[in-house]
Amino acid sequence: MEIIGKKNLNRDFKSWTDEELIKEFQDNNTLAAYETLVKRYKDSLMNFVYRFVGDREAAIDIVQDTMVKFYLKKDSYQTIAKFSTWLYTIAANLAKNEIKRRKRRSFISLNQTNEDGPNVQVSDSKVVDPVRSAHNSLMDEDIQKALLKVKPVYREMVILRDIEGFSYEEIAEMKNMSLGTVKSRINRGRNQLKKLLLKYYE
Amino acid sequence: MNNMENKNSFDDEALSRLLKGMKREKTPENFEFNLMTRIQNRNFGDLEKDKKTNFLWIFLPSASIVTAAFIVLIVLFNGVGNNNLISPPQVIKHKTPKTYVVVKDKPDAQRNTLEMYKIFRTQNDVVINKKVKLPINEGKSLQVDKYLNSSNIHNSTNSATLVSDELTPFNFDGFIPYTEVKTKNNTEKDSVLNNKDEK
Repeated sequence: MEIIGKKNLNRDFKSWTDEELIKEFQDNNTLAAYETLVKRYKDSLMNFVYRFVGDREAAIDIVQDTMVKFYLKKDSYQTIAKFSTWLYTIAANLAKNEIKRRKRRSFISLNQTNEDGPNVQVSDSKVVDPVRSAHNSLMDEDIQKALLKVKPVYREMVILRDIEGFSYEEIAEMKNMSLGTVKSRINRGRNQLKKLLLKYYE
Repeated sequence: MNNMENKNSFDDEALSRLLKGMKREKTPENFEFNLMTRIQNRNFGDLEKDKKTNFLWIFLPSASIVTAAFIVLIVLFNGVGNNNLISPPQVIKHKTPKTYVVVKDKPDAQRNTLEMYKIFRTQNDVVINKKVKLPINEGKSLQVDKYLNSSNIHNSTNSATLVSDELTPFNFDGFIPYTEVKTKNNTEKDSVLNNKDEK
């Protein structure tokens, strides 16, 4: 085991697939393989969790907890599933727990920003090209606010599909749901978002 | 976005592009360092513990139902007899005194003199009759049956003490139930029978 570990130190893990890396970590407890996977997924998980929870500090903690759980529960991963879906499932569950905790403590109120009607207050209503201007931080803020108003069950799906770019099949596998349910939830989430972001297109 | 991108053409694709165009959040630079430090120090908090699902909550509703049913059964089958409000008073045999008070009315005397006897019933049901001193002031006592029948309403001067004002002390010793013993001129009657006889 030690020999394999030393051998692997010389290997370039960057070229390995996720599944090869997790297998290496499972079989030989190679920390370098684990670190490579952490580097590979930390930012995408961060973006997913932040968009879902809406709090940067909380998102950092959740991503770190996700990685710790990945470290501790590495043996629960089975090669039949895609590594990324497994990791995102852990992150999503932790994020959902955080949302529940916050709801209980009334730290956030999703209706707080909805006092002026169904639409989000847009900083610059004369935006003509919303897609090009998406990088605009103010618009980001508005989209984020709108996202947080979407029901968590739909929000998660929309983020996974439209922001993280997972396929319907991958999301279905991740959430252990039928393809129809996934599509339906994404559709409902999108419709809610469209209503909230309507001002961008007036 | 061209002219086609208007309110009506705000389709899923446009929304998807809008969402994808958002700035991507990144972890801080020290993220990996903090993570590896945490792992080295084995600072896992609750994450290390296996979340054990507690299935006891499943039994909670049934336990509540069983408890409620048990209470209802107790109330229905045992509680009624003990509830003085919904059941008639019952003689509790073991609490029945073995001593009875009998008051003899002496018709030949000027006043109705009350004498109290204690009748002891022994374990062999042998009855012993013993005269005892009345525990009450005889002069301030009256026989309720007779009083109600107005037979001595006029010669009793103490009836007023049963109803007193705030200044006068209320001298009421209570009721002494008694059994009127048959004498030559006196038959055992209760107030109801007396009334019937009078009619």
